[in-house]
Amino acid sequence: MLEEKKPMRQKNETALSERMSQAPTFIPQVDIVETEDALVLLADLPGVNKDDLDVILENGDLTIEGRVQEMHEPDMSLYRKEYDTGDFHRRFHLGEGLDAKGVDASLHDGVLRLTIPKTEQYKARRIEIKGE
Amino acid sequence: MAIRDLIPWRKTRREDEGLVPLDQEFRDLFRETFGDMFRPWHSALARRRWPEMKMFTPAVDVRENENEYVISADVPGLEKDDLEVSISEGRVIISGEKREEKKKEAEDYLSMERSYGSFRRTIPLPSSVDEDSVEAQFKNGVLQVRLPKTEQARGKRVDVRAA
Repeated sequence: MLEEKKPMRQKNETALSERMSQAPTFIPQVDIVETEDALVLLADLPGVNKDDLDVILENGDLTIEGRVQEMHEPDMSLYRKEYDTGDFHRRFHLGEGLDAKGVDASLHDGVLRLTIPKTEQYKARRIEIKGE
Repeated sequence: MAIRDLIPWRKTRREDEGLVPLDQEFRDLFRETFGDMFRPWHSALARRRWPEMKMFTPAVDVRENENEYVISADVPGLEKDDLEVSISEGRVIISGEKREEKKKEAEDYLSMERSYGSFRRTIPLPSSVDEDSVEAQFKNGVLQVRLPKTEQARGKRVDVRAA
């Protein structure tokens, strides 16, 4: 139903040729949970503001793009470094059974939550068992 | 083919980095060995399905300038109340818990790349800070702690005179 679009970009590779920023682009980690009537996608996008996040649906492709603003004053020097900041990019293909028009998105505490409803015929149905 | 076979496993951001601090590695080892014992059964099942899944430990950056240290940590999915920042004896301790979303029985994970669990990071500081004016801010899943240096720690410029 939900398939990742390839080729995937690797970390440190410039994601989009037209990009202006020098920051690296990351593939956000996602959880995908299937419920009775939807797929719920949770993506970690730390540092992304609501205004800097784009969720784009085009030709059945769902693209997540988040930009991270540099939070530090330029005069600061690094004393200990464990991670890089950069933008986020990841693309999925919505296959059969998903209702692209009904996608709902919300961002809270750096986590994007996308709810993609299943189409009627893919929703789980309980089959009634008839007795004698 | 099961749906989950269609979703390729991606390496996590931290693994891509190649640089994992030793204390973190030790922590991971401990958790890999004993972690499941303290986790609810559904997480244990999920771990079996995605053995690469790790317990959540935020990476931490420390920056400094003349006047202060700034610690930042990516903690997406945590709420303010899940986080605790304390300072003692020149060390900053950041602890918290990233909780799994509540699941109903009918829900099934098709992909699980994000990691969950409680963590504790201890960050030693090279010079003394004014513990009373430490500020912690939490926004968009990023924690930032500002620690002003003490007067002595700021250091004085020594004039070099020509002989």
